[in-house]
Amino acid sequence: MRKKTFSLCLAISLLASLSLRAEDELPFFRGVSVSADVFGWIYPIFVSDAYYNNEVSLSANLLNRFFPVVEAGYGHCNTVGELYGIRYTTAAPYFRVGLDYNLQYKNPSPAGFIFCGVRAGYSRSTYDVSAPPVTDPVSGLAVPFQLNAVPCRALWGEALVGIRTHVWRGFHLGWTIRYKRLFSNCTSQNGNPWFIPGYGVHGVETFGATYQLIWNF
Amino acid sequence: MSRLTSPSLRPLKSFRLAAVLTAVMLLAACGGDDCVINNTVTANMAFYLSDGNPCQINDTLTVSVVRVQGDSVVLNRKLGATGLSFPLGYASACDTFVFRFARMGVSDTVFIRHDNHPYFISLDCGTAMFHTLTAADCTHRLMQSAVITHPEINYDAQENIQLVFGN
Repeated sequence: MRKKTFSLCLAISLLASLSLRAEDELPFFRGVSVSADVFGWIYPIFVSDAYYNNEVSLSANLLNRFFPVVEAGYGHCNTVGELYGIRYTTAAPYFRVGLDYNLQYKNPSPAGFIFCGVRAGYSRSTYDVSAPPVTDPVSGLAVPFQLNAVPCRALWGEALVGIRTHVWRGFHLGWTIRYKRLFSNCTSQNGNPWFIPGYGVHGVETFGATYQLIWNF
Repeated sequence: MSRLTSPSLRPLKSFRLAAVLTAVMLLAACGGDDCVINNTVTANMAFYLSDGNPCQINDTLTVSVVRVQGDSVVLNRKLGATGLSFPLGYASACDTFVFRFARMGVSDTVFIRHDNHPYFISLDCGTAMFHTLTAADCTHRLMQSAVITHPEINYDAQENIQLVFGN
């Protein structure tokens, strides 16, 4: 694990230093930007309030090419399945770190740019499940089904593509489409979580999107 | 200078790359939620001789589970049984099974102690009850012992208990 982290840091440093040599007339650090994901606010109002993530992020602009990013948010789920009447609830913070790469760094445009990126995400949560009683196959009696505070520590990776467009002064709009893959899925003797804050609906792979309001400093 | 590297086409090239990456991600994220047909898990019991070889019961075997409101038959007059599968109780910590051998006119009783784990599959697939076997014992008219081989009872179809008979 340490070797992998060291190799990743070395690779990023190497890329940055190569870029510095090539573009040493330009400043390395070009500022920071903060952003808020509007998708997480709109979705529960206009689509479904069953589950959603609200998040903000902070990124640095290095050479207008590399954008290290930190994202923090709060995931929420309170839903009842139509088929079995199972209620699932969870709410917890989550964090992601990663890097965006400007695909148009050689041809900068005042209108914005297209980028790709990667993220590593982590959330630590608990979830509750309550279901209609199940019938004991031996006694024939109804047995209540209730799970309380089942712990879940999830680690996942994301690969994304996105667009950032300039609107006015330091204000930008942007969206990302994200492919997500779970690395540790916190399966317990009580089953799998249905929704993981920051990740989405449980599955080895899933898909997500953000629509961001961005302010550059 | 080639056409692809001309400044006016560079944004188009980036857009194509982003479109390809998006398509790859969309395809990679496709997947379904497969549910099992029957959510009830069963304990799988197999019959063995004391020398370790599997055996067949050359008798008519009836197995019933003891309940407060009256016994319930889980295996009815089976000839040549080599084992059986049966669900365990969700609320009870111990289940009692009576094995009646009709031709020999004898019975043995098997006691199975277990922990119960409510198991959430998904909103679309429902719930189940899994078990962990903690102890197994039996009376000794025809049976010698009841041995737990795999204590976890879930959707894995594996042998959980060996019932050992005298030769």
